[in-house]
Amino acid sequence: MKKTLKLMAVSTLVPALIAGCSSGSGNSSGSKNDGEQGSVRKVKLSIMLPLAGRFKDQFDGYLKQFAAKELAEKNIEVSYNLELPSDENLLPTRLASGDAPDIYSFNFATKGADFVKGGYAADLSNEPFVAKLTDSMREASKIDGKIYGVPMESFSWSYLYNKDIFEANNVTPPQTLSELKALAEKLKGNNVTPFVLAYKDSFVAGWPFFLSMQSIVNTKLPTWWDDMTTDKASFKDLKDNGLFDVVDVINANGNSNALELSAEDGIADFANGKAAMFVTGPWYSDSILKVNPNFNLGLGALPINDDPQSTKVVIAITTTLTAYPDGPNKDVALDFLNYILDDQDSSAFFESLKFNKVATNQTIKSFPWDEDAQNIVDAGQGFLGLTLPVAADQDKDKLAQAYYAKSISQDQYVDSVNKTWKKSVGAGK
Amino acid sequence: MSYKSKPWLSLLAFSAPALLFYAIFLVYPTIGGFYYSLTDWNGLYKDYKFVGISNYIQALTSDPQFIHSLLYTLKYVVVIVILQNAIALCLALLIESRTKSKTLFRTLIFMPNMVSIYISTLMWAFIFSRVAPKLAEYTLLSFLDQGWVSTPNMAFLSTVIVTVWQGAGYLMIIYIAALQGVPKDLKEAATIDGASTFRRFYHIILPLVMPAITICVFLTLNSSFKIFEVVYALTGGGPGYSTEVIALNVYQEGFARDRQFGYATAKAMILFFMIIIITFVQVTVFKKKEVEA
Repeated sequence: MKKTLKLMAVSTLVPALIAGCSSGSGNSSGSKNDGEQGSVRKVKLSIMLPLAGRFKDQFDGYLKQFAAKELAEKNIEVSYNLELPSDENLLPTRLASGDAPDIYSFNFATKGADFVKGGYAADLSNEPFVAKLTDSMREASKIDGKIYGVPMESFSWSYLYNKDIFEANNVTPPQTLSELKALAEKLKGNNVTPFVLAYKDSFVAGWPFFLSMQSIVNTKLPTWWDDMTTDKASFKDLKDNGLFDVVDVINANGNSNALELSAEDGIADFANGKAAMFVTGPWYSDSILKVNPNFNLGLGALPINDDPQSTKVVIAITTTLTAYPDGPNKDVALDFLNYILDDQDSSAFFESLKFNKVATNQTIKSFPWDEDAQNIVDAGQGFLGLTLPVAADQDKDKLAQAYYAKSISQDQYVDSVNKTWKKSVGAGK
Repeated sequence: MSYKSKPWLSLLAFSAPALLFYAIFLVYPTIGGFYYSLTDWNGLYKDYKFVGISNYIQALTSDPQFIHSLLYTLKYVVVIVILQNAIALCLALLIESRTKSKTLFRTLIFMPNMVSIYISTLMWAFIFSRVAPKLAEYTLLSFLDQGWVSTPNMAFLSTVIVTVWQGAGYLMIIYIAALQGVPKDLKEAATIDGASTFRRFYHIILPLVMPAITICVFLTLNSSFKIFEVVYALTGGGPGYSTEVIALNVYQEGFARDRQFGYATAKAMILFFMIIIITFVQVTVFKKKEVEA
């Protein structure tokens, strides 16, 4: 019997041993011996920024600056564990299982409301950084009237174009849909493909639809979004207002084999000058310039009908940093969030990240395409994009592929997205 | 106390480590999954409600997309099970019939299996989108230049090509092992009796490799029902929803769309029970056909 007991004990200890071995943490806190400076408080922040692997160096550097500042000013020794998972689903899992990071980021345009509703984002409305935000940014980053995070990355977007190709063919960004059609004809006449179509990733296929619907709602149907929730509106209203007009023009004036090309393929083709325009945002500017460093990138507003007033760029806030409301180190986490918009260091940080200006105390050198966008916004032709229910958003993208492949009609498209949207809003409570 | 009187005790002790891992990493999550399938949890919020079997009812009665993916997966399973096994068996026979260069061909054909399925699918995606059109341009094989994933039918064909290419080598190894186990004297006796090559295969070899067929069909059934990576990397379920297999449908429901985690788990459970029933029937039926030399 003793032997059996021993065996049992061994068999339970072995996994414990294995588990013990693997739990050595990556980032040593560099613990010093006690005795000096009596009461140094030691804090280890855990930070999770999903899909932000490309920002690792910048955040590492800024966190080190922050640690130095915190030690000097508050006598707190900050160490940190920065995680940048390439999988979006790790963060919700960690939050739901009670293993929440002190600071995390989310995509404000698509996921913001989810985290707030779940009670995972702290109300930061009274933090000092809020006053530093530009007025438009402060308004744009509110959820139910409150601020839940530091908006870091924002875009004004519609479509990107190759300035060299435009110049060589002697054309300028079109203001109306008719002009767009004429431009496409002219380019095709000169053997230039007007649009890159890379619809293997369904979200790329959905972008023309997104721009078209946002602009229609913004200019013609101001109450439509709310009416969808109360079931007073239908997706068909958008079709009646010409949702498909610009989509058809784009789809008819692009490369063939669109459904074979992923977003990366599209970026490569666009950067190598295989087509003049790409309906996407400047979030790909880095990737484009990596493929072709001499690329002359421009940004224009996509016309969706013959009213130049509808030719607009959409403003979107994406990467937003927030703190977990019940974290043990919440005070230090909040210090860091405020430090992001620090008067001295913030501008350099944002510049290294290639982010646009979000606060009044920042002076950031902007890129030519961002200036293009800013000019359009300054002319009053920019507006904040509204957030679709996630399921409807995906349905819109998936069916955009099917619509391109001509396997569904406009009515089928409208019916399906309408149904998904209503179900989603009903399910969201 | 003698160990002979209670052999199960030492058996249990020796298998305890494996059992422990099995329980922690498989049994417990399965039970947890079954529990969540009865709730409306969204995978994120702290509170959720117990909703009984309504998730199951919803999936089977009012979710056309799920039914579509169910039927699509069935079609895929039938094609893959037949094609993959037929091709693997043919390859095994061909290789066994060679005297020289057996090892070379065995290695070459098994090679795709050693690359991660996700990576090899990405390679194929590149071949379909970039290489095939160029090949068509420079050779006369104009049929290569087409939308390999642009229409539902072509997308289906592409996934089948990739899966068979990836999986046939593995099954082939099992078949080769089985073929080597067929006693030579039986084959020789049949030859002396004047049996043709086909009759020799049908009446001698086939019954004797039946155990291998049972295993291989079981493996392909199992894996093709759960197919995910190939579709995810090659078509992402598109165009539209036309190639969305069950596993992808479950994934989308749980992690994208409305994050209906409970509902997605219910669908996964349906898939689980389906696989159990079908493979059980398959193994029982095939077992009856096995003979011994």
